[in-house]
Amino acid sequence: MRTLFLPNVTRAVTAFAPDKPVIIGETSSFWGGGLANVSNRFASGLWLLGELGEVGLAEGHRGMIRQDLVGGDYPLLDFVGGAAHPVVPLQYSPNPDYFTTALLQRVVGESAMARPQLRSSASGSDAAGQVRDYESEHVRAYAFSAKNTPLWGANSTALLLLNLRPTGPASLRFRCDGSVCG
Amino acid sequence: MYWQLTPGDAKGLASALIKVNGETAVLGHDLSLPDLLGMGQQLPADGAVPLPASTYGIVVLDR
Repeated sequence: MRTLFLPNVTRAVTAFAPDKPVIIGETSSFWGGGLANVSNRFASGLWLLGELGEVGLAEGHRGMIRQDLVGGDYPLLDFVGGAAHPVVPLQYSPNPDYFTTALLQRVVGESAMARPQLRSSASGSDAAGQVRDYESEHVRAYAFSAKNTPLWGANSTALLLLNLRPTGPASLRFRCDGSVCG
Repeated sequence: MYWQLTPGDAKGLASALIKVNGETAVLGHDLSLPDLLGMGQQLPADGAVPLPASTYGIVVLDR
């Protein structure tokens, strides 16, 4: 999506409606109703944070709508009972992304910042100490302004962190130089 | 502060549950959300944020 779709949308909006913000709708890790036990499970959060980060970095993009609230195999809320099952009262069962999106809403502000540069620790830096592209190693970070709350300072930074590797933990340290954190 | 988000059970990526800093997130009986901000932890003394394989997290750098 990052390499093709988002830049193409930006180009189209720049050409035809340059004063309009872009909000990507109906996004999910799977199309066509989702995929059971994937897009409605913990795995979806890995996609969600990555997608939010990329949309935040895309020029002119102001928002992203995750598909969907109820229905299919990608809902934030599963539900059982109710009219279809009169014996069982209607009960909502939130999927992991429900809590993730609620937390994001409370922590992350509206402004994306420059992509953090991740430097490897001992085993990762090359001989010249060059910044390595950790994306290729499936560890990613995205920076946003933090939501204004009394819990932290007004200029705080919220980082979304992803460890996409199937095995092996990551241990990340951060510092900020001016408005750039990494 | 940081919030480490990990699968809520042994099903891993296919888990229908999620843990926030090791505590399973559940709705209250009145459908109220847990205190997600309050589930955040202070950054470790050495500043190293742990992130297990196939998980994600959120960090706030207080400035």
